[in-house]
Amino acid sequence: MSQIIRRYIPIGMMMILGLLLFAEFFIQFDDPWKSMVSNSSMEVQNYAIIIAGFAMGLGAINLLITHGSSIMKREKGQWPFSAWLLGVMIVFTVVGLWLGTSSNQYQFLFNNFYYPNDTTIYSLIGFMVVYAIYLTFRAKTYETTYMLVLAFLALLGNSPIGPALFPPLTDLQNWLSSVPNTAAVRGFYMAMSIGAIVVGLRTLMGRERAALGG
Amino acid sequence: MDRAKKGKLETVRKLAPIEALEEAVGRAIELGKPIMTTYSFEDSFSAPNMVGLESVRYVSKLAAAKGGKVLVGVGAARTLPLAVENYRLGCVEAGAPEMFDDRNVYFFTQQQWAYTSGVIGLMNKERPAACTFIGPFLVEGIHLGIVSRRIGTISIGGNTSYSMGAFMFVTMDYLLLGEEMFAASAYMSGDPILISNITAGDTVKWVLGIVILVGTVVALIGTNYIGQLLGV
Repeated sequence: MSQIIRRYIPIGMMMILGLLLFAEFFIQFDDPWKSMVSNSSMEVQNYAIIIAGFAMGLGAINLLITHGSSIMKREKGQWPFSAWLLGVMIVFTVVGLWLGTSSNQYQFLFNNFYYPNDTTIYSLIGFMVVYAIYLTFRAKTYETTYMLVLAFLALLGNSPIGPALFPPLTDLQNWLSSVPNTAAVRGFYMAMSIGAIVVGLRTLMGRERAALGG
Repeated sequence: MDRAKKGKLETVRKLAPIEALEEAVGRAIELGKPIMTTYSFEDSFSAPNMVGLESVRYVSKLAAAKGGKVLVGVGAARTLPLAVENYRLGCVEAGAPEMFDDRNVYFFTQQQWAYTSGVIGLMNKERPAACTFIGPFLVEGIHLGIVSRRIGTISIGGNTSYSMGAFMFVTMDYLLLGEEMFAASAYMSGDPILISNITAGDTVKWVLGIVILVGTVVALIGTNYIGQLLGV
């Protein structure tokens, strides 16, 4: 019985709903089928949004369990941060539910607490990319030397000084980008797309266990 | 699939990141450190996210079999129950259900940089000996790769995006790139029918390759026969 509830019913639902969404996208129906498939598909997507709302509740419970236990145990170096996290979560939830997410108070909290932190982490990309370049472009092996030379050519081709010193550099850089690079990218995406289709089919057939967790 | 059902098993070349993962888990257990696994913040049930969830199960299975602690970082709330269930299932499959502890599942958020900060914080706090980042990561892959290098952990990434995978390629120790991720998913599942899917996918690639080659030759001759045949 538990096998039926935990495995076969979810697989059946996944197949039926998946095929419905597939049909709406790939098959051109005539009325009244068209409106029926379209309405059913819309309904399924609405349910997905409702379920996502419940999932947020599960996320909040997980935060309460992990950080609540850290506060209760007074975990060294961690509990003040856990207390801060739960405090901020409660304040945002109360203000958002009570005054609405478009209220001045909520916007104040969002713009002065969340947004600066978000942009700070984002802006670190500049430094990270420089470090990644340093890691990559060291002519230690044949592959890294090849990458270093190509990157140098691309950099010179895109900067004003390169074509000024050596005019054919622009054509060379364009050729590198549009012929060998494009060929490699197309091959990559074609192979990847076939793999993704196979995973999609495996999921629809209920063979992809990660989708059901068992 | 028919061949697999008849017991004719396909042999799959072992992927270096998967072999490294097995070694990394062993190393983490020797050092008495945890293993962290996360699969990006994307709020969808896309194919790369499915592979990421499969990796949670596989890492949990490897670690639980040897008594190792696993930390699971979750981005999107919708995938949280699946991550918990895959973590639990991995422990059960390893014959060590007692290794499952839902306090080791860390929910962050589906906001990109908040999720990234959370994962970086967890890595700095717990200092895992091995980390897996298999999933639809975006530019945050570069942050996670560099933090991995800084704390001296073995990092194993996986990405299907050409441009975003490049960030992980340059900063992580091992990377499953593009279709390798889907092959790894079948390999990690250990299911012969799923492994046979890799052969089916490869056959399709051969057919497409031949069509492209013939089409190129025909086009060079000066006709559009293949194009007319395919209606393009």
